Amino acid sequence: MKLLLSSDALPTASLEVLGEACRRKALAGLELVLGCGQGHHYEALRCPVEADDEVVVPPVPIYWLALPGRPRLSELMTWAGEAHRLGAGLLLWEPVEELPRPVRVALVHGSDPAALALAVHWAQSQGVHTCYQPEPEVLRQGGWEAVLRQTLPTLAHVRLPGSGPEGQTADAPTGVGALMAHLALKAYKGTVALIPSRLEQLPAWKAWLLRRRGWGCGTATAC
Amino acid sequence: MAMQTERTLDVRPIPPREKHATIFATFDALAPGEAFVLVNDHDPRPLRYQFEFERSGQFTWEYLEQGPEVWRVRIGRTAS
Repeated sequence: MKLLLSSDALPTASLEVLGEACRRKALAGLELVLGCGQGHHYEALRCPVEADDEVVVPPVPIYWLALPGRPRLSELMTWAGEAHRLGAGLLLWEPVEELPRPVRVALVHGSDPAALALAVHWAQSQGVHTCYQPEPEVLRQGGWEAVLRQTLPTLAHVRLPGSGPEGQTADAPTGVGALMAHLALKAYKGTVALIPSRLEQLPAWKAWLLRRRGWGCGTATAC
Repeated sequence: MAMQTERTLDVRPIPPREKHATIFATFDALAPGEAFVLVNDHDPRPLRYQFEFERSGQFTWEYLEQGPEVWRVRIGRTAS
């Protein structure tokens, strides 16, 4: 299991700042969300598929390029080329008709049974993966167990809300530990990206990611 | 296709109040002879003391990496 930082946690940060945040927290790399006005401007750079004079060299490994919405076929193939160059996978929020092989693809789903069934069926029929993003209330109530029973055989990525600085507060969300233990016992070998549970938490994430301290256990020394 | 071969419990994203309970729950779910790799952002020495008190003679403890950013410890359940 590898722990990643999602650019959703620092949406205004440049790629260099995201890389620095990863290094400070000893995270394996990034999940880079494209579009959505994020500050890394990755999508604004000319893609090497189209022009070979603007090749992006990421400061840390990029494990996933996330394409929210339903990308057009040209966008999908362009970003598939970039993902292939980076050694990354593509996260999709909706099934697509044509798959950019041989790039690794995962379809994001939450805990809704219909969306879950659709994602698992599509992943199995296409020979690709699933990505689970549990809702905070589902984490709290333990409803994720039923979801994992279905998605685990194809699961390659988890978008985990409510950890990081949110876990350090007195009213920290519960359920993260149980989910992580379950994944460990099932020998899950994919990635887990830290994401904020809601936009109001972004200032806390920024402060937490940009300071040189431990994760907040109380026994870790500042470095 | 399943991404499952190794047991790794990264406790860094877990809220502090859930950490030790999660680690012990994971350990207690192991069969004799099985192990998992604990990942933490500091030396989990206090945890080892707790294991010695609460699971005396039932566990093995092997450091795989000792900082400075990440500690990895293989914690095993002794074969009975």
